Amino acid sequence: MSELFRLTKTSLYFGNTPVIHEANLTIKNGGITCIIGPSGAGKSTLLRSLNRMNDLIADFHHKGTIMYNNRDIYDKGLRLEGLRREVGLVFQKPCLFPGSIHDNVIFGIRHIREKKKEGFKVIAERTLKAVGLWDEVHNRLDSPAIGLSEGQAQRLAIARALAVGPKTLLLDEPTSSLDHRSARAIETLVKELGRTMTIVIVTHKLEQAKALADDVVFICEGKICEAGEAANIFSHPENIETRCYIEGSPPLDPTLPYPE
Amino acid sequence: MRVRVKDICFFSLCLMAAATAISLLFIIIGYILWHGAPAINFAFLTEGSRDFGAAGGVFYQTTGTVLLMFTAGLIALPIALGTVLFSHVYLGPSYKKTTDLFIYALNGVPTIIFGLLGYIIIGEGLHLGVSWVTGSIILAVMILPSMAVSIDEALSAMPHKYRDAALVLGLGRWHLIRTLLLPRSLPGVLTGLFLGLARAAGETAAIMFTATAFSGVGLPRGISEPVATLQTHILVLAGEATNPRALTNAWGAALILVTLVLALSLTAMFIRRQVRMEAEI
Repeated sequence: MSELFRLTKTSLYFGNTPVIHEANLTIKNGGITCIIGPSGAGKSTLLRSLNRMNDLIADFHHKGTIMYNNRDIYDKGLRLEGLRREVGLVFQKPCLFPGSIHDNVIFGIRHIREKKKEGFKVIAERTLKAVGLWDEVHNRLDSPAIGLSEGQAQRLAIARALAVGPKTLLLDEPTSSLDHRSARAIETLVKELGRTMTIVIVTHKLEQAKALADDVVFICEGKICEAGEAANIFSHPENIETRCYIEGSPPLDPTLPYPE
Repeated sequence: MRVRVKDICFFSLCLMAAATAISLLFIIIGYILWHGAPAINFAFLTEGSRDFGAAGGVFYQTTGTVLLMFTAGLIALPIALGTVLFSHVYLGPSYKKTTDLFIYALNGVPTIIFGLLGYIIIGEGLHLGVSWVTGSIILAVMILPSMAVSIDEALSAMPHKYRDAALVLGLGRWHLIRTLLLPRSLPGVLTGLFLGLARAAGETAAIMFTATAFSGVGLPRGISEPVATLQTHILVLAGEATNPRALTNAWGAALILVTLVLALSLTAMFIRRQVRMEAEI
């Protein structure tokens, strides 16, 4: 598989504090890459830097390069809006806009002329079906989105991101605030999406990473300790910190099927 | 025990302060109502003034005040909205603070200075003279800060997560403004507009030099003509009239002006309350 992101000596700072220190990392095109590590390791900061969402934070700055499709994402000629449409991001907590479910799904595409031709209703239906929400909401698309449960809201947030048509989807701990059943629904969805697009997901749930990941990036205290194929890292971690972190959780049992 | 005594003393002082403020408002309104009500009738509201205010009504003055007020609002609103949106969307936090400082500083300039500068720069410099347009521009500059502050409050109250959720979808700044910030700032815009209009309606010093004439003025035929206003009408009648009937008419004009200002302020308060209620949901 070709590489999608390449980080070279990338350091990410909030003020003078480095959150990620001189990271060298390649993320492959296609499949699911899980970023794991203890709390405060810099997982979310790293994820948000891939589509420059950290730039919205006042004292954020970076060093080194972040390449996406062989292009520096800080290149002056690069359109930031275009990057964010190609590299979507779903936050830890779903943030729905005031308005109906339908309005929320098409929020990011209302102004795109080409999408208008296809028809917003068609796109809304397609993306809601993709996230498995269509059957639950198809008869109340004009109802306020605020009435949805947390799990439904997160799936709606994913549908909203998918409606824009990204090639890559970044997910920042998408199940951390959900109950077990809702979390399972999101995991199934992520697994499904990972077959057709590149997914980079941050999680602190090791079991989730084991179930989803094709590749794993382990971060500890702002440094990338280990990155590579999930099966290798979970079975034979080379780095001592990775090993300690993984052994703190139940070992991977590859014979167990992924729960549908 | 000593703490309890302090509590009671502090409560009593606060109560007295609040009672003074509220009773002052009621005394002023009551006094104006007492003296002005006898002047109010249909003819007073629909006729122009005659005999230096001793006869006729205040139709031209009321219309002039409303014209000035709304023109000032029309000029100030896009500038205030543009300033706030610019500082929110395009400027960093430190630059935004500087913009805010300028807006607050503008709010503190005495109104007579606005009048004087308006007369010199717009009236004399641009040869627009004492006119509807000169007065409107000066009033617009005066009400600009209160409008900007109100819009800024509405936008600042919006959680950052909405902005992030919009930008992460690849929305550009213009689309962010159109789809999220403008709809969200609408209540703030309306509150600011009504507060600004109320302030414009009550202003006298700034328009004395720039917009109004006391006698010989009907409805303006164009923006370069002076307008009659309730404020100037009251000022001149109260200061110079010797006819008791003219004084009663001055109180009548004051009653109309106070009613206008109160209606605008109450509308602004109502909208603000609605916004707070929505924000709490």
